Amino acid sequence: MPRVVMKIRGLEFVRIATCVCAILALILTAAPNAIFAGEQKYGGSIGVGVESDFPGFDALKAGSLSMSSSAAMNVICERLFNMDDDGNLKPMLGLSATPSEDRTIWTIKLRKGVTFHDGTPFNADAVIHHWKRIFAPESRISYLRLLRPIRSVDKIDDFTIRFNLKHPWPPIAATLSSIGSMAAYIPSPRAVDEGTHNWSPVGTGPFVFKEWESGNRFVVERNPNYWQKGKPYLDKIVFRPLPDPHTGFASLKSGQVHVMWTDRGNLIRKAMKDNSLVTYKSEDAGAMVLLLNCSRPPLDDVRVRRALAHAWNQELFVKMSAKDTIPVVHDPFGKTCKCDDVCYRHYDIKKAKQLLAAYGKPVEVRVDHTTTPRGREIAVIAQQFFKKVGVTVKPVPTDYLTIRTKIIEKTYQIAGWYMRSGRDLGPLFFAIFFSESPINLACYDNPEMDRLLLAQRIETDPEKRKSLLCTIARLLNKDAPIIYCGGRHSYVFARPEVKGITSIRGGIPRLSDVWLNK
Amino acid sequence: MKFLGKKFLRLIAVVLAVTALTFLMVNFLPGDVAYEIAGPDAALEDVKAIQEELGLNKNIFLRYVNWLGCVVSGDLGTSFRTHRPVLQEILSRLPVTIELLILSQILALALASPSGIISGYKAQTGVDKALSSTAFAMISIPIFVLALVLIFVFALKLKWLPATGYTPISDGLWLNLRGFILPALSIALVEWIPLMRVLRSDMIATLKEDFILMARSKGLPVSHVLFRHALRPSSFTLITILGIQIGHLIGGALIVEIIFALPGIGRLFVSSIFARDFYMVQGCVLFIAVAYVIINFVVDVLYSVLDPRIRLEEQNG
Repeated sequence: MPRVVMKIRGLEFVRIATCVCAILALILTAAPNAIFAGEQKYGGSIGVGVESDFPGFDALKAGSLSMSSSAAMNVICERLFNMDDDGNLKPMLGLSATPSEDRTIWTIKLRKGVTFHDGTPFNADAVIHHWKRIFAPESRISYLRLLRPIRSVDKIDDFTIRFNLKHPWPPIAATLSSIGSMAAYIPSPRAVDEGTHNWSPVGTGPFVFKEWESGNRFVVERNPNYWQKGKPYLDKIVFRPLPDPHTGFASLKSGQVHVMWTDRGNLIRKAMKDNSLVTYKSEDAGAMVLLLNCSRPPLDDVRVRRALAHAWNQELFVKMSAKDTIPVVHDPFGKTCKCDDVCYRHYDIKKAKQLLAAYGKPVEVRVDHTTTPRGREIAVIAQQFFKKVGVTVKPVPTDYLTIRTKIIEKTYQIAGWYMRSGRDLGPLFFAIFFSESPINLACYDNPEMDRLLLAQRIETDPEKRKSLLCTIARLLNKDAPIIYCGGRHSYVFARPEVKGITSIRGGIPRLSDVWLNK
Repeated sequence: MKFLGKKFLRLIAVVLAVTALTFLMVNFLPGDVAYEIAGPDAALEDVKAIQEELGLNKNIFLRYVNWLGCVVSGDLGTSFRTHRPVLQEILSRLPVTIELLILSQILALALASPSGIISGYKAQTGVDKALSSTAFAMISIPIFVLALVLIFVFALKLKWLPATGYTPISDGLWLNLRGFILPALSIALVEWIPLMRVLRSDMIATLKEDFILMARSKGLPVSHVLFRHALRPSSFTLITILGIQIGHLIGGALIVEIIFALPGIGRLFVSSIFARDFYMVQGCVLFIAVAYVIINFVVDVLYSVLDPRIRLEEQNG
């Protein structure tokens, strides 16, 4: 071989080798864990501390999923799709979702070769069975209202179904991929028909239900026939209801449980400082709010509501009550929809007093609150804030169900409420702020709001829809049927040997891919 | 037989009175289980439809009579909230409550008996004052504070015992008992005090009796006098207090169950009240009422075992 060719090939080799070494060095220094990401270890079992026992897993009998039961449901049953941070659907039991031109028909292709834990095949019949049951006349589930735009679900062939909508409805994607909605999870039709699914859930997920001792533990074991080969990694997950968050934290520290989550500010602060634990945090949509009943005097006068909004110091509340573990928010959208100025009513005592002077009458309001520490805090803080502008607050301590009763019956004046998290808050907004909605929690009646809510419901252009939602948020701040107490950040704490908590949505950690590094 | 018959009639009367009163009270609370079932996004019409379906809008008296009819046939109904039979739920929680009750009372008696006897024997001495001061100090500590301190010391710092949770006996006796040591101790460290104090008082009175003087003058050892002669007649009030404490714990030691995450009757009862799950509430109340009466019966029987005079009186009618 000519010496020049050999020299060129030699130089080429050196160049290639240098490049490879540089790339390797970059990987090693920039992402030292990346090399070991493929070295998940199999085996072991983890304990997960949850706040309460589960109400059940049947879409009709249990009604809704709590945060605790969502975490368990997520490892046993699966949804048609997952959704990434950019709002794109990711295949799970569904492979693709194709809308028609007018976006009133969505054709879903289903995954083949999947079976439920009881051997029933997953196919179009299973999905239709689930959705037909949700829309059955005897169905009493409350979130049915949020699904009203779905006219029907039809089978096209064994692995193709079609969602027929009454009108274009962008939230359909978020609905099919919702981690916190029972409607999104496809159960075994056999288990549902036998009436056992509520207490012995059967799905297609990476874990199989093993046993449930009410109030004590809920155990799931590895699904050896899971359709995602190589997963899951753990042998077992044990969910333990730990009603007291402080002793729950003690259980985490002592190793009895490996993962837990909480929204108690002081515990979050303590856990974040603890070097023996790993903190996972996510920023969610949703908000903690005070609901103002716009149909009850004196809150039927917008000047009073605006005054209370100006008298409320959200920054101070977040600092005092939540220990700065939640964000101050001007709208409930979080990362899902970034709005510019939404005309938030900042803390302004002078303006509050001016508005009340214009109203011209003494103002006295009742605040219904729970007798939990947080409930009492909200009432006391509201009392102090509103006292500064001359408003008398009468705290009314009661239990959670009584507050819910008063909200549903519209007999409350001011009550604390959670605007829950979700990828798309449009349906929730429609349900609680549309004047003719049977829910309409704040008895809010504004034709402009109705127009905006109807428009956002069918708007398919993402930018236009975002603009509508921001306008809605602006109008909410203008009319003040709600007062923001704080946004939502979710915190999950785990022992260091627990790896693979890849995402947290709506406060619920994804446990399917967890493994133990022991 | 007459004695048993009277007890049975008393049981029926107590059960009727307590369950009727509870039924009324739960129904007068704002809201009902329909609001819980309807969920957070419910409208009033959804709630009314559920109330219609569950028969919650029927006359209270009719509903109570229907429930009584079912109870007589052994059916305590189904929980509106969990859709499980009420009896099954109560029975699943019963072993936890009974085990907690037994262990805590054993510990309480183990602390109260020797300290009560010593205190009574050494009344007004330094030993008695030290024990009494300890007792008064401990009774002022709330149970939940004691529980948290025990968790901090034994679970977090020493890591000897688990902080929370219940392990069934089927998973291992030692694992099961380990999980009960801290909860039982939390209860026992408060409940031993009234037992000790009443035993002390009765001991002081009994040790002044002539038969004790007789026993001493015969030269019997002190321990023999205390345990064989003085303890038995001094135990009546102790047993009465023990019966009341056991009856109270039958309803579940709620705070301890919450702190230690024990799935007992107390947690079930309270969560059912909050959810207005009135079949479950009625079932729990029925169970607690029956248990109370049975415990009272056992206490009465123990009186006759301890004191032959009572046995003879009953025999003579």
